[in-house]
Amino acid sequence: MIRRDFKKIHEKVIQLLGIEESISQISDEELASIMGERLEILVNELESYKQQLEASAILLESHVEELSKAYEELAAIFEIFQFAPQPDVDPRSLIPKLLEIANNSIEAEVVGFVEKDCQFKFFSNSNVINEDLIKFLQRYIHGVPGVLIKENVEIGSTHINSLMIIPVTGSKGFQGTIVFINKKHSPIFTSSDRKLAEALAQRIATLYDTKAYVEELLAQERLLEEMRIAKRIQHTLIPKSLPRLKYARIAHIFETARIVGGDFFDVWSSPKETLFFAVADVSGKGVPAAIMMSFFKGALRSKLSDEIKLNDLIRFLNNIALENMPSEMFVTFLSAFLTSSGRLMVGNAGHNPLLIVQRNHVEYIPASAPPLRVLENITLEEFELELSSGDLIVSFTDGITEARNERKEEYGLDRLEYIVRKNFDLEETEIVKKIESDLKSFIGNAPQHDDATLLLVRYVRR
Amino acid sequence: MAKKILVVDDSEVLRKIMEFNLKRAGFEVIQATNGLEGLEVIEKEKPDLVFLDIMMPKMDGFTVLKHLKERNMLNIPIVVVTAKGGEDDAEQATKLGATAVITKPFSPKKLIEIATELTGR
Repeated sequence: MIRRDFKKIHEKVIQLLGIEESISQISDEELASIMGERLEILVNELESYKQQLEASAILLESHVEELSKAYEELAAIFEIFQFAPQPDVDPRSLIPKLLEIANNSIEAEVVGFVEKDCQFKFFSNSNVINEDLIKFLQRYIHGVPGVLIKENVEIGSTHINSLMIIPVTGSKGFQGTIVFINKKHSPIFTSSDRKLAEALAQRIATLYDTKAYVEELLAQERLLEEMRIAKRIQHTLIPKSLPRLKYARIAHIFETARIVGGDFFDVWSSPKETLFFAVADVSGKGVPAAIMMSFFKGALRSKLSDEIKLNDLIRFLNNIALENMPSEMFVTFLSAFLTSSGRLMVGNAGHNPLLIVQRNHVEYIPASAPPLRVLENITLEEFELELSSGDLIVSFTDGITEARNERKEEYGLDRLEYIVRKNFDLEETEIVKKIESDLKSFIGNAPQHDDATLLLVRYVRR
Repeated sequence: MAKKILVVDDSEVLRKIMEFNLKRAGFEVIQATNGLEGLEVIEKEKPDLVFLDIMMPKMDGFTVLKHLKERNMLNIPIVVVTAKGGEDDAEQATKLGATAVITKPFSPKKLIEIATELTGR
């Protein structure tokens, strides 16, 4: 009975051990001894299995730990990338929170950020930060910043166990560096710490890029607004309607460039029906030129009268300009009076010549004084001539004669004179249209860089 | 006695991560792989806190919340785990009586913070 039970146990044991063995021919004592040996082998094997299992469990745990760490990093990256760049948010205000999120996973004693020019610094824990460290970072930033991961660094009297520096570089260039000092629970920063820190750097760089981009847009918008303002000022200076006189018919061209160039003209008729007209070009462009034009026109209008001599007018304007205009600016100024009897007085201060076109003859009246605001005392040589009925007086700015085509050739005075002569018998507005269309076809697709002004007056004897 | 936390999630990896971190923080962790099983375990084991996934086979998290409400079992704090971008889910879960909502991927550290706070440990 006992032997039968032992036999059953023996069968089980050899099955477990995976061996074949017969016990039918052996005595009870031998069986007991064999059973003892077999059981011992079984115990040893079980012990070994147990150890293997324990080792596997430890391995598995470490895998889960790693997985868990990776999950923590993933969560940090997701959170970091939730900080979307916004046009009205200063990256500096977001940096502390972003660093904190990354450091939740990286776990350094101190995390910080230093902007490239050191105007902005942030450290999560300022106790560890001393002047030596700041100097070290400043030097690092001034070099060629790359990733720096180092252990056992001596900075001044400070010992740092582990250090990780990650530059923040976006499409607008280098912005600063992120610094991690002394990793907790570990002597070194790992490659996954670096990956996470680099993702953080990328996000911060995007925030800076966005800010720079928005600032550029704003600057452009300001410039455009300034140009619009200048243009508005310029257009308010031009006479809204031209005086209607029996002895003079007037037409004009006034084309402003995209950037206000400084042209203006004025036409005025005195109580005694003397016609005054002027064409001027203020040097410079944009708002400064527009303001000066406006100022200059005010001064001009304040002085106009039947009694004023052109020489006095120009001296007055020169003094006004000397007193009030910045030294790098000047004004070329062509002015003339025309009386009903056909007497024309011309004063040209540094401006393009005045063209008198008669049926069979052309006269040029050149500048007889320097532009205004150049010399302290100027004396103008006044030209005076008698016009015949039908004579044309053409005054213009260099935006007409110096207009360029795509081959960089200038329109020129000769071509202007030719067009005026060719169309001499047409109505004044028609002549002006001819000039305009000829100028347009000459320029082609070349950009217009300067204002273009032309004033055409025909004298008609009553 | 360690507080008992039930993790209901169909993702084995996520259950492992949660179990690992919660156990390390000293909690007892039990698991269920879908809503239906979760509901049974809640009734049987009366855990101190439940982390409940929304998107699950057999029974989703919303349905689990509805059942718990019907059975007056919302005295157990339920933290709903939603996927990224599931703001609507979060709102609905809160309406259905969830105590808190966390978004995947979540920080395991935050998980422990929430567990510690809600079990009043």
